[in-house]
Amino acid sequence: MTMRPGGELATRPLHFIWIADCSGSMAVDGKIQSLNTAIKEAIPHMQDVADENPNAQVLVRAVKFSDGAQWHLSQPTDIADFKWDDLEAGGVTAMGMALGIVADQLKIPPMTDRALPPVLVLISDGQPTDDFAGGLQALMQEPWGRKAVRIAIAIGEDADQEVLKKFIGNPELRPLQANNPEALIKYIRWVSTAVLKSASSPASQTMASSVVGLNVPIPAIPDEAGSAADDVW
Amino acid sequence: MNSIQSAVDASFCRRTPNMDQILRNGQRVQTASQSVCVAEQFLGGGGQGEVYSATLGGKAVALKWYYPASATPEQRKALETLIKRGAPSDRFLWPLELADANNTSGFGYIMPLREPRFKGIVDMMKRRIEPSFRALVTVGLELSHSFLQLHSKGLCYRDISFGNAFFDPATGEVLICDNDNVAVDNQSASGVYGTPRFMAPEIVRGDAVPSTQTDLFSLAVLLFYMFMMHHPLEGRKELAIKCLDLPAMKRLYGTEPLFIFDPADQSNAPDTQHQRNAVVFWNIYPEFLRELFIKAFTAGISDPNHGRVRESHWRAAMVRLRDAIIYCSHCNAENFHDEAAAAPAAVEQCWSCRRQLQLPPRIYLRRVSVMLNHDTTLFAHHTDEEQQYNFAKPIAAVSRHPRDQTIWGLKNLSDRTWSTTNSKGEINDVAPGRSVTLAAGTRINFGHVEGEIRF
Amino acid sequence: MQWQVFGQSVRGAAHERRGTPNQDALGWLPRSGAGSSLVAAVSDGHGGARYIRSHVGARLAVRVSTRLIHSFANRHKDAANLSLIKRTAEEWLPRAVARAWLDAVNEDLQRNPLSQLEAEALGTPRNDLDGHAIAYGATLVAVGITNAFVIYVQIGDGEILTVTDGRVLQPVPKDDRLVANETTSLCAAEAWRDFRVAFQPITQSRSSLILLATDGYSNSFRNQAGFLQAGLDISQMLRAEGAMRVRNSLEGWLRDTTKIGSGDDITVAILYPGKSKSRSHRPTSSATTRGAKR
Repeated sequence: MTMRPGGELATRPLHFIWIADCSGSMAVDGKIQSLNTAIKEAIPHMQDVADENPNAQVLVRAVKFSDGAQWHLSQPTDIADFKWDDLEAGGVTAMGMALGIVADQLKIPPMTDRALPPVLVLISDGQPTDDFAGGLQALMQEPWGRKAVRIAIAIGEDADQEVLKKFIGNPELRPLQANNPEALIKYIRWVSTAVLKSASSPASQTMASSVVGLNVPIPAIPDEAGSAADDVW
Repeated sequence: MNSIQSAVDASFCRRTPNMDQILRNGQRVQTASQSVCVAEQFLGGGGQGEVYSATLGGKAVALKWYYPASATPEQRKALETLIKRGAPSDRFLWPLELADANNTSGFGYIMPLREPRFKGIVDMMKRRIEPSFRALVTVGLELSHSFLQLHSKGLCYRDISFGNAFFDPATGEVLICDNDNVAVDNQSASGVYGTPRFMAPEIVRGDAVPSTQTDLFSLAVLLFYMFMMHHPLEGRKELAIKCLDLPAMKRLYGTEPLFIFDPADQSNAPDTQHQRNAVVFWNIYPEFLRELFIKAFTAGISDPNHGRVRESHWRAAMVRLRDAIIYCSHCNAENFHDEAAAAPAAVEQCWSCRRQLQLPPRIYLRRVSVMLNHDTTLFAHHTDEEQQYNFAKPIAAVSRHPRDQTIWGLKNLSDRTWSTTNSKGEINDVAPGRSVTLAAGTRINFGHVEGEIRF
Repeated sequence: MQWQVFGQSVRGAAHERRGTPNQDALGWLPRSGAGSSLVAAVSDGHGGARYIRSHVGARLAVRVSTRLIHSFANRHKDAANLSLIKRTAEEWLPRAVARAWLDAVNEDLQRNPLSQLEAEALGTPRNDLDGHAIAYGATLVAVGITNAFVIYVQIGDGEILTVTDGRVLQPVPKDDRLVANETTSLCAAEAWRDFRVAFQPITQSRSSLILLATDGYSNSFRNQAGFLQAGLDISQMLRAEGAMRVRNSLEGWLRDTTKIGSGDDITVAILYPGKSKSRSHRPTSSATTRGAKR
């Protein structure tokens, strides 16, 4: 067979970004350790999902926010090579700045238009202490920000549900309420497997459908672990 | 180069250059006044020629160059006439100078470059932009007015379509392009240019040459299309056509034209599945506009010389439409208040959310009600019959009391004092810059005209 | 001037893993794939869960559009007035194609109404017949050629490229709304508004290649330049090694491409100038029926 025409072939990039609250309150009741554990536990499962969908290249990054916001892992890292460095807690809650940082990376470039819709997971236990609205606006101004699958996990009763709902921006999807470590692990697992799997499949949607619903169909959310409600944050 | 690039990006779709282009990028051509014009970049091509962005003496301009088949002596002469006559107004993008090239056959002409803020009506048709009704009405107003100015100069179109008409969605300001087919009234040979869709039936049939009368038909089609998002002659009969070839077009637009809402003959009524726009939009507008369209496409078809709606009538209708806009208090959609609706007490429904519309306060001026919305402004023509339309200079605006937002007023933006009488008979002066409270029964004397506030 | 066409459609690697059918379709007229006036079309049925009959929708899109455009091109090919043809193509073809597709879909629904399961997947009530067309949603990428002009018609994602005098060009303007797997579609209300039509009079040089592809192909390259390079390479191969060689290699290339690239269904149609060399004119096998199983 003669040589295949065209330039280099490549699978489609799927950017997965953890956006994690590292404010001082996360140090209380072991919340930050639970989060670190949950993410580390999820890695092999994410790798399995990625293996099942070889045509999507899952690239993971993370942003942490407390007094300011920075990249915890700034280089998009192939899930096969992804290792999690523990987050430490301390400071306030610069959620707006975190969204701004993400928005910046969702511009075209560095994003290309052949990427799959990115998955953004916002995890927080409190209220933003900076300009959340500004950060969210910057994110939603980017086409990739609008088309991203946006999931929010609220840790504990003090998390600001309204703000998380605004981030998600879809009335059919609510923030996931994690009131204990088991719930957190379960939700982190769900995001990094079921949602990742759905986002990996190259299924087109018409624009009309995306006005009402999501670009990427969201699988059913697992039941809240209400029964083991002893460890309430 | 940025402004040129943005001119290319004028619609949401970007074009890649055509390898077949007649002029090379960077090619120099000579204008009639012996200046050098450099063709920079291919912008687009039509059936007659191609348009390039170009520079002339350091300024950015546009250059159109004809395909060999269209570069005729007649076209050249026609251009010379147009250039000499000059544009009827600043709403026309007009040929400035002829251009020739040493090593390329044919000729072209220079014109100003269209600013990127102008979008084509085609873009609106294609859902790329969604102008408000207010902007749309302004476009209708400016189009009618521009046609009137063109005709007053003894000129008419040979080929108008919505490909020629551009507008600024923010303001409704219009720009009419592709004017190289403008002709002197009644003097050009007939001949089909472009599609028959916008042409008067007598031209499609070959029975007449382009004239101001035939233009009136085209204007009506253009306005109908803009407001109803559908062509006035394309109902069931159009659906029945399997392949639109020349004979089929001749029948539909020439020998058997039938208005889709002809009250006497429903055989060309719109199909509710495939031609829904026509039905939906027709019912949004007030009766007076519908009647005007009915006239344009019944008498306007059967009586080409006397039955058509004149530019000034369309213009007045647009002004009236503008004054009839109200906002739905539930979903904020623009609606039109229909004063002449059969039962005045009948509940008007929002076309968008179907809930009941609430009328805002209005001012009854010169026998018409002008709706007073939060953003309404009044102009000289509202208060003085002698005044021309001048939408740049408001003479009044709806305002709110600075200390009590629930109190609405009308602010005097003119340079003369108004005199008001409220329902109790008390008289007051409203100096420029002051506002009078909007209360039922209050009468405002503007000088030439008195208006009454109604709730 | 004679033109020829051939093409291939392969099921996506990801579809193979999931067991979903090829939702692309491909076709041309005249059926022999050769003539002085020729039309070809490819269509990509939407992949989301609610588009349960999109493989049928794609097939119908190819069928109605090739018929309409072929008839249009033939009726107008001798007309001297190119402006007229261009305007009519831009203003009438989108409505005619969108309507014909809807009519074909409704006819299919009449013969085979949605089952309870299908209605549930679609998410509209079983008696809401208007909403059922969505299940067939598909894109369309088509081209019609005569001696005097070329018409490109497109709605939704997918690509057209041409090679003329050694340069690759894309005649249809890009639609910036098509990002992140979102596409405009034949099944949308007022679909005619989302069509893009490009008209080119054939004046000087003729293209040596016109290539139509569903987005599974272009999405498999690292960047757009890589996809455009494919056009150039194929056109050179046609010249150097002949059409038969390219025709025979195409399926293998596309299979590799979906595996290593996007994982999506890939369909490509290749049009090139030249007299048909084969003695008997046969359409390439399985081109129009691949993936059409319900």
